[in-house]
This record gives sequence, structure tokens and C-alpha cells, in this order.
Amino acid sequence: MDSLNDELLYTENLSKNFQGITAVDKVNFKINKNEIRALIGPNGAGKTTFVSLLCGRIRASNGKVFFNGSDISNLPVYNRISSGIGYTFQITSIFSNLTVYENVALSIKNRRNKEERSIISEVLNKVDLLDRVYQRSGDLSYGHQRLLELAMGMAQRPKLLILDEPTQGLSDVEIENFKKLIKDFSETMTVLLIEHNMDVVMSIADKITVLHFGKIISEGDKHSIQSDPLVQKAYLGD
Amino acid sequence: MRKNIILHLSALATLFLFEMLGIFSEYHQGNFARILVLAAYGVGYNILFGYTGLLSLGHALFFSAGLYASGLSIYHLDYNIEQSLLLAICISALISLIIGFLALRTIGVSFMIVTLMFSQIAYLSILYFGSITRGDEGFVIQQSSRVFLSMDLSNPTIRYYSALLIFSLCMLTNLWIAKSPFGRVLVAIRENSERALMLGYNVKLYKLFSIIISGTISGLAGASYGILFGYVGASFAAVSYSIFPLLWVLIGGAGTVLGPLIGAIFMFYLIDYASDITDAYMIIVGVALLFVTLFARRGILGELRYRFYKWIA
Repeated sequence: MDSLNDELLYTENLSKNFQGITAVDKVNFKINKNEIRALIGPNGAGKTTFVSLLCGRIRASNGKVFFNGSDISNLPVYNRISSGIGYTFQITSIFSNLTVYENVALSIKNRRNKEERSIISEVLNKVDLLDRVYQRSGDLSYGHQRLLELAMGMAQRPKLLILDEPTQGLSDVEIENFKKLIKDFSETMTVLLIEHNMDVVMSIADKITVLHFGKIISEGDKHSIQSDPLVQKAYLGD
Repeated sequence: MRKNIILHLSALATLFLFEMLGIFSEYHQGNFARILVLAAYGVGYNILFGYTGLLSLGHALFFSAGLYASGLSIYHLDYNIEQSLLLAICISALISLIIGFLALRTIGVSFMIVTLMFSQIAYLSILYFGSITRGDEGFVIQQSSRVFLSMDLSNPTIRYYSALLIFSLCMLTNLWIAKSPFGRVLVAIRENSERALMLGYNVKLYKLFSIIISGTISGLAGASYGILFGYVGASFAAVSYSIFPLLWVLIGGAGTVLGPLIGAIFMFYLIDYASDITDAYMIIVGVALLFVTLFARRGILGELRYRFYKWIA
């Protein structure tokens, strides 16, 4: 059993209804520190809604979210982010008219100039964008924009980084680099990854949670998930 | 940053030298004094529209709040210039806070409509309380009341330098904001407010601060206008005075510090020359504006920044 001190985030009966449709249904979820957790499920399973509830983009209909030992259920989104939850969007969301440097700088708060510059250099170096630092971010290729978004998430120095389908639209080479990056991240932060690419999920996730019709139907390591008949049924049908 | 400081201080120095060396004729001296105060108003508008991306159609409310706060306090209460300016700044800030708090419950088109409605309420109130405001007719601030530190503000030269001082204060505040972390967040909100929120910024609070700063600068410009030109009238609260700063900012370049000045000069002289040619001068103005928007859709300075000088703030 996981020690209580290892828990970074957990939910209690977290639910969301949209005009009678239950998108997330009494979910009890837990993620430990420095874990890479993949959240998978067929389209419409409620994955994005669930992580949106965690970071406060949408309000829960019922249930609670605990983060780092505190109940954050009633905190507005900006306070949740400031308390250490980072989020990258499913559809690339950067400040297109600002430079790469300015985009990353916006992710860093309350730091002295020298420290800010050092963090920016470090994260851009990690995602291999250091040579494009003064380029307008809207002029970057799609793959580079995804990497920039990742750099923005890293620069926030979150305790929990939520990545919503980060490899969507990336080439095979970029995906390989991405996997290495995520492995690096997990040394200093916890990663919750929504991903459809099963190769990525199986190769980097410590644990996998499967969501179907808003409920967790299975949770465990890759072997137990692969052999779970409920998961097979959810993906392949009867 | 150094290039920006040099550019903006050079622009102010040029305006100062034009007067000091007597390059302006009396006519242009008066025009430019007026343009500088109006450009200060444009600077206030630009902080909200150009930097934060909030399109207000009711900024005449803030301009006239300052105008009437200072004008009425001089006219009815015999306030001196310092007292009336201070009162105008406080009243404008307070009104901006209240209007901002209410208007920010809406976004997009609704925000435009709500600001327009508040502005119309203010305009109609000025007309309704005619016994105090002198309604449509307005009132004149006597020359004897327009004295600041023993200087007669109705004197054209002193008036020009005073207008330049007001504009400089507003413009340098704008430059400082544009280069500050606060300004960077405002631009982020303009570009992608959802992303700014997900980076942990309290977007609504930043927008409220932006409205307060914008409204206070607009109010200061309004108060300065009344004091320097000696007239307070309801026409300054009409919807056209909410549209003018939008045009100055669009023509000069939204989100550029010098844009409102360039836009105000362009518009002022375009109307001035066009009205010399024909009574239907708005046709010429309209066609000219059409060309500017077609060939420099980011505004004059905005286009220069986009194409050549990316460092311009």
C-alpha cells in the first residue's frame, strides 16, 4: 500500500454532469509523487473533463480534489496552478505573436531576472529550442510549438504536470525525444499523461488508469492493463 | 529596452524642441497642445485595447469623469488646479474600478455594449443635471482659475508645455508598463486569455487593473483638457469621444506606445485639411481611413514594427 506521504493528488467521488450527461462519474483517483501516470480510454471517456476538474478549468458537480495534502476543490483555477499544477492543452495553446523567450518567461513568476533567464535557457535547452529563442512562436513548426508548450509547462516548475495528448501530430523522431523528456521530468515532478499512442503509454508510464464512460474501469501496470478483459472490451467492443 | 528609451525620449525631445525653437506657428502650436492631451487620452485607451485586448466603446465616460470632476470643482467649489487634478484622478480611478468590476462580468461584444451603455448613462446624466453641469451648453473655466504655480495655463506656450508634460507622463507610464512583467501578462491575456489563466494568472484581476489604469489616465487627460482649454461640455461625454481614441489607436498602431500620438496627429490634421476642401469632409476622412486599414492593418507604427523594427514597444 502506498504511504500517505507519497500521495500528491487524490480525488473523492469526483463527478461532472453536463445537462444530465455524466462525463465523470464518482471517480476516486490517486497519483503519487514522481510517478508517470497515463490516463487512457476510448474517445469520449471523459479524460479531458477529468483533468480539467483537477486543475479547475471546469467546476465539479460533486466530489473533492486533494493536492499536496490540501483540499483544493473550491480553489479557482489560477490558485490551483500557483499551488503547483501545470497543464498543457490538447490543442496547442501558445502566445503566437510573442517570441519563444516571452512565452516561457510568462510561465515563470516571482523570480529575479537572472534566475528567470537561467530557467528559460535550461528548459529551452532541454526541448532543443534554444537556437529559436527570439523567433516568433507562431512561426514555429507544429512539432516545435508542442515542444514549446512542454517547455512552458516545465518552466512553471509544477509538482504535477498534466499533459493532454502531447504527442498528437508529432513525428516518430519527435515522439522518441518526447519520451526521453518525460522520463527526465519524472525525476523532479509527477506527470499525468493523457495519451492515445499506446507505444508511448506502455514505454513510459509507471502505472495506467483506464477511464470509460466517466468511470475508472481498470488501474495497474502495463501488463495488468493489457490483459484486463474490461479494457479490451472498452477498446474493442463486445 | 535601451533602443526603446532612446526612441521615446527622442520623440518627446522633438516635440519640446519644436516649441522651444519656434518651429510651430501659433496655429499649429494650439493644435499640437490639443493633440498632445488627446493623445494622452489615446494612451489610456491603448492600455486597455492595445495591450489587454478589451474593446471599450465607453471611454468617453472616463475622459468626461476627469473633465467634469476637475471642471465642476473649480467652477462650483473654487478648487485650485492641484486640488481639482487630484480630485479628477481619484474620481476617475474610482469610477474605473466600479465600471470595471461590473463590466468584467461580460466578455467580447457584451463588454463593448455594457461599456457603451455606462457611457451613455453618464452622458445623459450630464444633460439631465443641467443645473449643475450646464448641460449641452457646458461652461467655461475662467482664465483667473487656470493658474498653476503662478503660471497662466491659458498662455499658449505654457499650455503647450503643460500638454507635453501630461502626455510625457502618460506615455512613459505606458512604456514602463509595456516593458514590465505586468505588461507582459496584459499582452498574454490579449493573445490567449485561457492560456494565461492556465499559467496561474488571475486574468479578471489583471483586466480590472488594466481598466483602472486606463480609466485613470483617460480621466487625467480629460481634466487636463478642461483646465488647459478652459471649456467643459457634454459633447466630450458623447459616443464620438469613445470612438475617437479607438481610431487613433487603430491608425497609430494598437499596442505601441507612440501609436496613439501618431494616430491623433493623423486624424486631427486629416479632418483639419479635409474640412478646408469640402463641407462633406468626412467622405475624405473615410476614404483615407479605408486606405490606412487596407495597407497598414496593424496601424502605422504597428506595421513598421511588424515589418522592420520588432523591438519597438
